[in-house]
Amino acid sequence: MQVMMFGGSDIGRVRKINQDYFFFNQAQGIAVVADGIGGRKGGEIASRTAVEEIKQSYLECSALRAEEVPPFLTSAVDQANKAILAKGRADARVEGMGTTVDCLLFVGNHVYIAHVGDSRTYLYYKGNLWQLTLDHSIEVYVKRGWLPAEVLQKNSRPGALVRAMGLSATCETDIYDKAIRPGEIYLTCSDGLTGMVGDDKILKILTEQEHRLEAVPKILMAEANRCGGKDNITVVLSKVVA
Amino acid sequence: MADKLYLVRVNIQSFVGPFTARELREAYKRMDFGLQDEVCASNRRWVAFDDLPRIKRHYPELLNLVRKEMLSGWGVTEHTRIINGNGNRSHRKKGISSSIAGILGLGLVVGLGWFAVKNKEMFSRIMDGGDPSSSKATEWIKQGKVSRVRAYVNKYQKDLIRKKSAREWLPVFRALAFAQGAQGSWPGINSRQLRGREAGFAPKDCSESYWKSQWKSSASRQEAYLAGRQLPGEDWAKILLWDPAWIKRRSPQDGWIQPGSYYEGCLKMALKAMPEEGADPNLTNIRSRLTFQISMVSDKAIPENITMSGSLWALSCLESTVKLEEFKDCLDNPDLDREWQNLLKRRLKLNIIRVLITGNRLQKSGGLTRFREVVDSLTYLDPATGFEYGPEMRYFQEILQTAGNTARARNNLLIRYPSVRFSD
Repeated sequence: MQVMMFGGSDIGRVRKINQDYFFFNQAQGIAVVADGIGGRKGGEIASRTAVEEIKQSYLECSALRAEEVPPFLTSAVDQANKAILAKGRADARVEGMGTTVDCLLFVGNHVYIAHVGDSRTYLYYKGNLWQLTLDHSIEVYVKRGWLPAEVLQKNSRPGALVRAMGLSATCETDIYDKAIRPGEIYLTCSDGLTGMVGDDKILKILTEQEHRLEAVPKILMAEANRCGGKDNITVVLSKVVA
Repeated sequence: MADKLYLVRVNIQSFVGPFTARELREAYKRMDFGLQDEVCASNRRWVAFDDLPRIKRHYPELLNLVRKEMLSGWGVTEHTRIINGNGNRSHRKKGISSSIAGILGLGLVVGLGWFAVKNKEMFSRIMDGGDPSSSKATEWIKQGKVSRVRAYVNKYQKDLIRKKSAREWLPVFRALAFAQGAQGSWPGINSRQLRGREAGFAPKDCSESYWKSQWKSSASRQEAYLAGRQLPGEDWAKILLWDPAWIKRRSPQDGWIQPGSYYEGCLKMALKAMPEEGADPNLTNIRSRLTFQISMVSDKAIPENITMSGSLWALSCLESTVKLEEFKDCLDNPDLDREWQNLLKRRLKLNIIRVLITGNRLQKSGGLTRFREVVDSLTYLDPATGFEYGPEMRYFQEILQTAGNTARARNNLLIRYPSVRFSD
């Protein structure tokens, strides 16, 4: 099966720099989206380092068998995490920088998703939309019972991340996999989109624009800006074709 | 208008689907997912199948599937085999509400006569002493009449592994595959079916031959492992790290009779596959650890003759200590490498929690504060084994929210996690 990919990034209407970074290569079947953590200096360096390191690891490695993909992704993210920490140690101005990352690898008839933080990957299929990744935010952890409710009271900042790259020497990565089928569209995006545009609206846009997918990233980014554009917005779409 | 489709998240790590409601049912029959996995329709919320109140609220259309097929297990429905004049079998599924009187009365009399005349094979089967339903076979297994079930199943193997009855008989096949003298496999049932979805963290193959190859290939690395200098990721190393309390809480698992879960079956097969000890202290150590785990899982007294040292001793020590002040003795080993130390630190936390709960220390001065500190520092995933402690974490949160009332906390989780047994 082949994959068609389209994507773009927008600074939004409030931020002064774009701390998001992304890369995709449909021939290689890889898409990576990273969102440098706002409020910390060097978010743009962290997101760029994450994407470049993962991309480099993938392009340098020989063909992967299905069972080798999850360990590869874990180690690629781990390596990228170490590179971010090393850059932080080398330059005190950006020490403590961090980023989220969502990386999609299409191998054989499967897609593998490495996920850290609150960037998201959705699956769109025949007018249906599902959020595949689980946000590593305090709210989600409390909701699932993995953190006590009191943590929310102590932490007044909504959406604070429990996990991100660059924050500690070890970085726990969620790895998901799914058998793909023609017609499936994977939407990977930073929270600049999901923080501004509701899932219902995203579904509506995808359903209406499915036939001209190349225009969808721009339409989604424009919609996020129309709703306030408070954060940088990055969107990558991967459509599975027969 | 788009078709309503469902996606299923399995073990929080893979997805199957999207499915229509009908395809979802078929996928469950194929064992693509299990009771503890989560379902989601378009732009809706992820809900675990075993979370009945939420299934009812968010997916009432799936309630039948969950109640009648997933929660009822395999014993509630029954299949009747009808053999036509040409000897071809067709299968009909009947609900338990079908008239038992009809089956026992008219059906039995007419059917027996008809079978006797039309089909000698079936008649002889009945004359064998009864054509057991899967529930009857289960009863026999529970009564220890395994050889009787084995004889029957062996005789009618081909019929029983036919597509529709295979699911109904799967718990029986599993019991036979892991019974005493068996090799951890059953003809006609592949290892994926035998394992099932609920045991996603266990090796796909837990047969005796698999473990023999594991012990053989690991012989040269066992010493470093046992001394706590290495923590390889292979199955032989992982199984020895399995947390017996975690397995016990989930036993018997849906679809299992004896052993109570695939994990328990794996432990038994791993032990059975071990080479003769001789004078090798490494093998004695490993054998002892497996015996210890099996005893803990099956709630039996730990045999006195087990001998452990090094890393496995430390682990078993943490799992069996009942006094908080004794935990420090378990960790009195400076030679363990960092990975081992991290693993033991995590297990220490879990076992401190266990002792705080079981020792009724939560209501004592500082007990709940200590409990909260340990719970706050615990993550839900055990990286060494892949075991997910989501239900346990929820239980600990409930305990905190009920100010240490463990009975109330357990009660609050009964519906959410019917297949996980929390106890004091």
